[in-house]
Amino acid sequence: MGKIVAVVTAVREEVAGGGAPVFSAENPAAAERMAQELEKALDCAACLIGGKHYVLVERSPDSR
Amino acid sequence: MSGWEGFWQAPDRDVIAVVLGTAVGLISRILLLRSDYRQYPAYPHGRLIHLSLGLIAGALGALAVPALMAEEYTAITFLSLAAQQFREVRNMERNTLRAIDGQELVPRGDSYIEGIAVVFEGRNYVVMLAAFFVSLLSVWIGWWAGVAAGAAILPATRLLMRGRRVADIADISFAPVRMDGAGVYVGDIYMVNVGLEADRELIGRAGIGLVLVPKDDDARVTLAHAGQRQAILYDLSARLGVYRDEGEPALLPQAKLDLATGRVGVLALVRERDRDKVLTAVRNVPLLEAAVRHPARANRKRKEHGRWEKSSPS
Repeated sequence: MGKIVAVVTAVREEVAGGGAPVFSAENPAAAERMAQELEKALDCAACLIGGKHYVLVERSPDSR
Repeated sequence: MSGWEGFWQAPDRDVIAVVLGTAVGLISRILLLRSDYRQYPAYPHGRLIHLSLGLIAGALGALAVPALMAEEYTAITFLSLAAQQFREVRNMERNTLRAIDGQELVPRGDSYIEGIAVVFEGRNYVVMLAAFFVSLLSVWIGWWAGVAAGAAILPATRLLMRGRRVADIADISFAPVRMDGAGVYVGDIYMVNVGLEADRELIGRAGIGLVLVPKDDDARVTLAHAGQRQAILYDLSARLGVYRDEGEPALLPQAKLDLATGRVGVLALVRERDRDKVLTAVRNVPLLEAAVRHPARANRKRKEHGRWEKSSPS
C-alpha cells in the first residue's frame, strides 16, 4: 500500500489536516517544479490528484 | 569394495554400474545447469556447488543398486540423507536469491524465487533417479544396457524439467501507451498515476505496452497472481534491459489486471525495443508453480446426463 509522504499544491485551501507536510506553491507551474524536486529528494512517485494537487507517494517495498 | 582392485584389468560389474550411473548423473546435471538470461548461477562458484552436488546425487543413486543387490538394506537410509541435503540446496538458493533481490532494480519477487529454489532441489532428484536407473540396468543386463539407458535418459531429463510458459496460457499483443491527464493506460487498461509531465513524456517515449489475454478461466487465475505478473516484469527487464535507476518509482514497470476481463496490461521501460524480442521475452516467461491453479476443473459439476460442465457462468 502506498503512503503519502508529502503534498504539493497551488490551491492551499483545498488541502486540510493530515499527517503529511503540505508545500504551498504560488502557481501550478511552481507546484509541478516543486513536486519534481521532491520526487528526486524523497525517492517517491509524484501523483497528480484532481489535476492540481501533487501527492508524493512511497510505495511498499514489494512494488518499489 | 573388492571390485575396485582389478578395475583397470577386468572391472567388476558393480563398479561399472556405479561409474556409469554417476557419470550419467553428472552429465545430466551439467545439461540441466544452464546459465541463461536469468544469469543464475552465472559465477564459477555457483556452478561448482551445483556440479558437486550433482556428482554426489549421481553417486548416491548409482551406489544404491549394488548395495541393495548385496542385501545391504541400510543403504537406503543414505538416500534419505541425500533428500535432506537437497532440501538444504533449496534453502540455500532461496536465501541467496532473496538477499540479491533487494538490490535488483526490478525484483524477481518471492514467488519466482520460490519457484527457482524448488527447481534446484528437483533437479538433484532427477539426477539421482537417472543414475539409479542406469546403474540398475547395467547390473541387471550389462554395461551396454546402462549406456543405452543413459543415452535415452539424458534428453528425457531436459524434457522433464521444461515447464509451461506464459505463451501456453495467454495471447500476447502490443498495445499503445497513452496518457489521459495524469493516468497512464496500456490500450484501455489503467496502469498508474504519473503526476509529472517529464515522467509522462519519458514513459511515452521509452515505454512499451503489452496486453496479455488469458486463453481460459484457469489462465485468468494464473495471470491474476501478483507473483506471476512480477515474474513477467522481471524477465522482461532482465532480457531487454531496464530504463530506470533506484529512487525513480515513477519509472517502475507495471503489470495491472483488468478486473472485468482478466486481461493483464504490461507497461515497461526497456532498452531493447525490438518487437520480436519483446514478444519472445514475454512468451518465454515460465509459469510459476505457485501461480498455476485449475479452479475450472475443480468446479466442474456433473450434469444429469452424465456430462461434465463448467459451473461458472463466465
